[in-house]
Amino acid sequence: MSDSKDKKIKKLPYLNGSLLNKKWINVFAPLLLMLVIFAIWQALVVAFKIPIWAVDTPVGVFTQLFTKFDQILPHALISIRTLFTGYLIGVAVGIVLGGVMSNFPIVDKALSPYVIFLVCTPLMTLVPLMMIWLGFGLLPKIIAVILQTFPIVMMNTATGFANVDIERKELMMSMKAGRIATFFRVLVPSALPNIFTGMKLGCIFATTTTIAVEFVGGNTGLGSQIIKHTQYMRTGLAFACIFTVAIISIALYAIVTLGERYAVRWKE
Amino acid sequence: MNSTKIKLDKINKIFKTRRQTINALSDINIEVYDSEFISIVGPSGCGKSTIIRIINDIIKPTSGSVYIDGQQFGKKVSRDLIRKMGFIFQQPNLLPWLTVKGNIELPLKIFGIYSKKSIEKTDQLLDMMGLNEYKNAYPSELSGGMTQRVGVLRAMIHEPEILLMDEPFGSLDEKLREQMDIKLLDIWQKLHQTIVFITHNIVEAILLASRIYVMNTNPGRIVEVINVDFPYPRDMDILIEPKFIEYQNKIVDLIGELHLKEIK
Amino acid sequence: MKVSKSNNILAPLIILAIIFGLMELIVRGLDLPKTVLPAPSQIIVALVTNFRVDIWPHLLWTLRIIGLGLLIGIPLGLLFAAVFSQFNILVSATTPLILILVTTPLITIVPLFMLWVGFNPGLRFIIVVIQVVPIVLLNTLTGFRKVQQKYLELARGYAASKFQTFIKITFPNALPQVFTGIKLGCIFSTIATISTEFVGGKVGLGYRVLYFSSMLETALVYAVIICIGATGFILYSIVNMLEKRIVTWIL
Repeated sequence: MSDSKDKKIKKLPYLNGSLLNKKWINVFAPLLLMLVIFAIWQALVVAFKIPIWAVDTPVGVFTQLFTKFDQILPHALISIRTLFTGYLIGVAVGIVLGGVMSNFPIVDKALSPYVIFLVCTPLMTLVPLMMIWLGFGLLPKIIAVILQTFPIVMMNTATGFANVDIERKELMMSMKAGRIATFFRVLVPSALPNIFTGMKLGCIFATTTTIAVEFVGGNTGLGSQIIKHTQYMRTGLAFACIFTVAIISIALYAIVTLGERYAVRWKE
Repeated sequence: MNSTKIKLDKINKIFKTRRQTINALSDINIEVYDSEFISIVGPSGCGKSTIIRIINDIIKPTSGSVYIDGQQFGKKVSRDLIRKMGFIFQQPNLLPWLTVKGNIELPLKIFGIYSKKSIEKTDQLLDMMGLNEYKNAYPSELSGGMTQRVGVLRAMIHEPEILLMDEPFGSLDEKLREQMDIKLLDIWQKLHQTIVFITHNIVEAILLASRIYVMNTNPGRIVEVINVDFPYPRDMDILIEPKFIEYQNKIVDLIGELHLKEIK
Repeated sequence: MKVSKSNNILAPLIILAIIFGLMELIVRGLDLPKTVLPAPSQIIVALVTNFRVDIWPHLLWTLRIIGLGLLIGIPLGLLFAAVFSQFNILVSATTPLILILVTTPLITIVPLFMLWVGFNPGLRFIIVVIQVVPIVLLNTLTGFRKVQQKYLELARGYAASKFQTFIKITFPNALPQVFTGIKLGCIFSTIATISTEFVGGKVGLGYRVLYFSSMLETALVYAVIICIGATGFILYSIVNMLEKRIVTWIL
């Protein structure tokens, strides 16, 4: 790195191929692809004369989505409540526990197999029992979401805190910065990328668990509606519910990603 | 005769891992006088980075004492004593989430001496190093030479009397390193800090220091102390002086010869 | 600095013993109702006595579904990624869609799927494949794209062909990310499988959970959940061990 570079700010490394740098391509191409997929779907259903009760056309689905929106909305709201409440609490618990765990390396080594076990076990399996204990309301479902979300957040948070560069800690030590100062000035910012990775994965777990628990118990929430409409062969409406679930999931993920972009904006 | 600024008295350091015991430092005795510029050279693994960290109380010695301005390090070293020192790391070690300005001001915030005047001081220093336009840039946007310069500024912002430098210019290319060496001498001439400069580059050590501690490994120990008899201010011309080459040969012999002894 | 292997196994085992002992004491001491939280000893007993008849056949079914799903899903995901990564426009077109597939719970398709193909457990692996492919695909693509510039320049300096660059540089560099994708795929495969069994059918561990829950055989429910968890855990650990072996050779 010679001195002449000092006069220019270093260029960010470019991705494989300049085509990816054109922003409009990144918006246009996926939209085009989606339209193509919908068109093929429509064509296949019409051409093969597939009955509507088996598979509805995209046009049919969107029609259902808009006309029956007042039916879908209350269930969507319930799912959102379950999802967001469970997710937020799960993330909070995960981050706190992850931070605590990383502070005690012995605890970390002893508990890490169990954390992995928690991550790998579909804790939605507790829901049938929970419904017996706690009824068919939202509480058992929210608890299930919390239980499934916090382990993965905890795992990633602990990794984030554990992998702080020793030089950064030495920097704080060279100035005799106290534990609290070191925690907030170095440990937390260093761990943030990992924490956000955990949160994004937690999104996926939380949404999956929300729908799964709504499959199993009660008749509120989009999950239950999908089951119901499928049983009554109202596939168009079922698909409409699925689309709604997709929109909600994407919205949550987008919020977290935006948060990440803001909090970790210093990364290359 | 200047007073003793830094004194290391019979310092030993043993690192214990589950697998082995490493005798990192054995009977280290170093004395640095006020406003003196000394250098420590030696092969990698000889413990020079450990010594400098012991001076800054980042690592505690297994036995032996550290004295700064005559005051001995106890179990807990006071903030005031640490504030007299500035540490410059091998890798620039800037915090990537802070801007250049934020990084430089960091010691002020931690030492609790941040004020409006500090902001002016930061701007002045940035100007002096020619980095003013990068005030609000993030470290990821700078080149290696620039980040290292920011590292130096950060170590000096709180006006320490002692500078501890751990191979600070090792990752720079030769031309840039020479520039930084000269600049360092310049700053030292003006500010008269006591400087301990660690390097594996023998030429750099002779250029900068008035005394050189030559070390070797296994265990880490001081082999000889060499007085460099060139007057200040120095510049790159001394590199071709016969005396310079003498010093160079002497140090190479010391380190090389001892290495051969180990192989036997 | 490596912690000795015996310590790695010893500490969790000690914790297990402690938790086991504590829970026994709490449950028996507080006389908690058996339908809420049976004592660990009772869970073990239930697990052992009912294993051969009530649990093992279902375990096999669930394993079959997960196994088949992963065996097809992982290579498929890798293949798609390898193909897509060669065409930048394909990558930019599909990445948001793959992201949608990953973040949306694909178990929403399960009821419709069962409507079309019936409750035949032999076909449930398709759901697993659908859940696994996007996540493997996404992580692999990310791994390919993140290849450091300097390595690519190195390849260009030796006039390496596109194929050579891919095999020798891009692929090995992406391996850690690829393994992350595979591990996540394993986790999601268990969730997907259990979800299908929740929705319908008469075989599989998920179905057993529903059955035992309705019978209030709480100890058995916990026993089955532990089996499910153990399956996922073992899968994850296998992949982890593979990763440690393969990635250390190359990197």
